Amino acid sequence: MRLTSWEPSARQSLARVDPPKAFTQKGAIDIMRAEARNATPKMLVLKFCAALAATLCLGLVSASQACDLRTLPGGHALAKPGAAMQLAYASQPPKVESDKMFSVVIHLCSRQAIERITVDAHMPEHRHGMNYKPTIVQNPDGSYHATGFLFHMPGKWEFVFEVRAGGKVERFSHAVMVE
Amino acid sequence: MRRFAAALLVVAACLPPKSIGNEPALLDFTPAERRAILAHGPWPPPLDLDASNRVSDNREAAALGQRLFFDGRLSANGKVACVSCHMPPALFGDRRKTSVGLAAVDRNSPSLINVRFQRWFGWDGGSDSLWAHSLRPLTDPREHGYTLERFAQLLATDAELSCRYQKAFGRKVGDVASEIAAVDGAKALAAFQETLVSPPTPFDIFREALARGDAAAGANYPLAAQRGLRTFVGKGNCNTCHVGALFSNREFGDIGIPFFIAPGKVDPGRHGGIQRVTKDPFNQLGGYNDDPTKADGKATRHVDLQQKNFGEWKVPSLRNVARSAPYMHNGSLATLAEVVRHYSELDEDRLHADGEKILRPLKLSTGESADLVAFLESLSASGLGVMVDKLPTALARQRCTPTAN
Repeated sequence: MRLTSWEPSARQSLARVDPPKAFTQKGAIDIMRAEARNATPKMLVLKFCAALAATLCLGLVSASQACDLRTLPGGHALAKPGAAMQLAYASQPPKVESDKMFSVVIHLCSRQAIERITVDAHMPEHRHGMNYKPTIVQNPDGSYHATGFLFHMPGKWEFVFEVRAGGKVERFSHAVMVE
Repeated sequence: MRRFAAALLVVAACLPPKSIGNEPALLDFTPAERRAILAHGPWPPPLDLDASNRVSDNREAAALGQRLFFDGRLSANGKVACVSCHMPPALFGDRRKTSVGLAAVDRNSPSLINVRFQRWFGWDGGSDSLWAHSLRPLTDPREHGYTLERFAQLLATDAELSCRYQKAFGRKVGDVASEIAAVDGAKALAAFQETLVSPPTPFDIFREALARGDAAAGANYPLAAQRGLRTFVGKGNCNTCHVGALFSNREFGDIGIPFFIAPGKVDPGRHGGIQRVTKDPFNQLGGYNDDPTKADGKATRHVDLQQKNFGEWKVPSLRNVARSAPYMHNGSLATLAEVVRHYSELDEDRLHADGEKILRPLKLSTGESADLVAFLESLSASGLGVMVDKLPTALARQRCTPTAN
């Protein structure tokens, strides 16, 4: 199942993000090429060095390079209009059942390097969380894999994702009904 | 007179369905109630192998395990066997408030029937596999007071046990270190306990009838049990924790049962169990797990020790509950009626401040309480309480013939 809820409103949300030109590696190279046409050799060297540094820094923003939230199978996109960050996640297996362990794959689109990501879940009506603490590792494609979830009761559960980037914490939550 | 008769008919039509004399009837369960009821089956669930135990569901190992289970030599004084606290006539419990091995212990002996379906073992979940949990009482000084070395020695020196070990594990006891041989013995004990699966109950027969839309068959289920079932999945919210075919979420909860075991001394429950299982060299993450992927170690790897775990106890399965009195981790409630009264008059002051917020006194009427007990009684099978054809008894009774080398 493809992530249909991301389209078309989610695309519009993404469009409103208005990223800087250097948002991607390709953007940084385009800047270099355009500015090289009008620059003196000294300026060119300085700008080349600056652009190179920016490009190297952007290497840290792996989430933005590998960002394609629409291809996450069976996932939920948590779009916040105008936010500097977008998040989508999918549970594995897709249907969460009570009393069964599962994991979660998280995709992030961020304008800044991700400094930290945490995920937890709780039952708002019961005011308790899980009996288990998930751990997160980053996949080679830049997404994240959180393992160790178990919803031990049927009912309404809420995932809470907290992502720290650029010194700010963005919080995403999403409720699911578990049978 | 005709008007009176017509009025009587109208009144009768408005009443909820009930037995007239011995006439069976089926309550008008709502779609939501039906979904909740159907979620408690089918029974039995798939009998999955325990990947951490190389002899899971192995008949030879189960036969060895059955012999070990009844063997008093597995104790310091030669008199305490597993069966001492897990007796077949008591559905593999012992009917005592708290059990007695070499000395008195603080907890009630739980029934071993359907134990194979658990995730955590023991009232505090201090073990993460059935075989690791079978080792624990053997070495507890108040239970068997035994040692792994002596267990391995027994397996090596008793001709019958040694022969059976070789058949089950495909090697001689002397070929492995004594600790490995003892763990193998525990894995055989687990293989035997895996065979203790309860047969379908009156509730299961009712549930199956409901699943196939057979109202006539469903109506054979006593009305009191039907009303109790309605309370169980409705007003009582009992199925929040007593969920699924096992009637347990296999986790832990604080329901306000005192955990003082002596003046100034408490039994920490799940809080102690998590610390024990995460440090246990025989846990699923250790080298004795026969599954190289250690896939079943996820729960142990991720279990989270929290303050709320103090005083939490395993949510017991309700299958065979009417035949496994007394109740609670300390056997403090003698009858099902007392258990229902506990929830009906729940003392919220005894619950953790950060505990389960859906626990409230149910304030059941006398009739509702009696109906709930009637439903709980319908979760028990008659007879031995186990599917006899799954037991390895016949094989265990035969004399072992050594395998030709």
